[in-house]
Amino acid sequence: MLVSENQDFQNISVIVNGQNVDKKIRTHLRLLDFLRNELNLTGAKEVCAEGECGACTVIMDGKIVNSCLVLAVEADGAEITTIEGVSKADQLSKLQQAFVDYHSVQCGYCIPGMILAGEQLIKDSPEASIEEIKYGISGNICRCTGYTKIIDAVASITQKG
Amino acid sequence: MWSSIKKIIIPASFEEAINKKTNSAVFYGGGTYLVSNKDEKIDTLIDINSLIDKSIKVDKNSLTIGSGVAVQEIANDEEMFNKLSMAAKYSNFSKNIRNQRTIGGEIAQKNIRSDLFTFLVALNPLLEIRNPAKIMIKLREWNGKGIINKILISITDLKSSGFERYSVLESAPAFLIVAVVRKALELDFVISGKADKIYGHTMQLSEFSKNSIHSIIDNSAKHFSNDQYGSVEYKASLIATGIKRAVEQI
Repeated sequence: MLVSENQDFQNISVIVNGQNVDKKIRTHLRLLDFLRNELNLTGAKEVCAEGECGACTVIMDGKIVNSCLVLAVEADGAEITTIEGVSKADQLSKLQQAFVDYHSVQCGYCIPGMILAGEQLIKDSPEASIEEIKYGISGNICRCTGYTKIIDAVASITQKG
Repeated sequence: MWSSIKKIIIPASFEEAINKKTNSAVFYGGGTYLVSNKDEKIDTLIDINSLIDKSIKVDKNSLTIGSGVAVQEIANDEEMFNKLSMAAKYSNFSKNIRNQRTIGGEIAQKNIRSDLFTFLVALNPLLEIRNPAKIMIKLREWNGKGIINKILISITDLKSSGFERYSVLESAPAFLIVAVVRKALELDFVISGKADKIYGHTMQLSEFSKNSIHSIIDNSAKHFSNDQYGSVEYKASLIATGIKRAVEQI
């Protein structure tokens, strides 16, 4: 089957933050380009563009991925969560509130990716230890905070007891 | 964006995938290496995800891993994958990337700074290659042609292996990796990292001694250079320590 023989465009159908999205897009777009430029969801950031930093992290079918390394057409049929889909109406998620409470944000550039990595970690391991938290956010780099306050925020959810 | 990409083909069979392969077309699995590199000479991706095996099977003699299995699946299960799990984890410390990257891609890319690739070269598993006919070939003998469908690892080899790595931080890529596998009558050594090639040496078990590893140290150290990680002499001493520790794990 040829999906896009001799053409630069392809139709994709994805669920982004619970909304069905059908779009005709250029074949060469990465998921990051699609989210930021086609859907105006600019929470995912482009920093290194080669998968090292995690600033572009999104959740795709229940797994955190670097959207700079996923072609948008590869996400066809997938369910995507971006940082814009984490809070409900004006209500921050528990983890977002914890980031505020623990002063985990400085410049903020890495935070959308950090929150998504943390949200998925909490879903997969609701009682994650400090070591598991460090491992869970190992694909996300922060150059400001030294990580301590970020880890404290996630641990405040997983280490409640 | 990866602006040179014009076409993405989803072939219905291995035969169609092989027939579509040209100099400007590449097989696309997890895609982490390809999308990161964005080679402008490539205009076509042949998406093989629907063709390649994604299962994991264990019997008493072997572990069969589909080439489409994500590296994170291997990193997750230390009980099943033994030291292969550790090599998978360290091959890239980002869970985000391990979720996407496949074990088949790790072999196909032949990245000698990858702990997982280095360890697999030491284990030298049997590969099921589709070109498009099914071919069974050892990893070290594979010329890179065709599509990897399955990787068959001897459980005895996996249990008789040792693995050491040296990096600036635990989460940083290793600049020196030592892997050792004990076979019935031989020891297989593989040394790689930030070097100009991956080095391999097979030694009869009966010949192994403190003195006999000097040639391995000297010959493998030649492939490293003086850099920010240390001098060649320093790396030679790490190779000696790595071999000792890896052999002790067996």
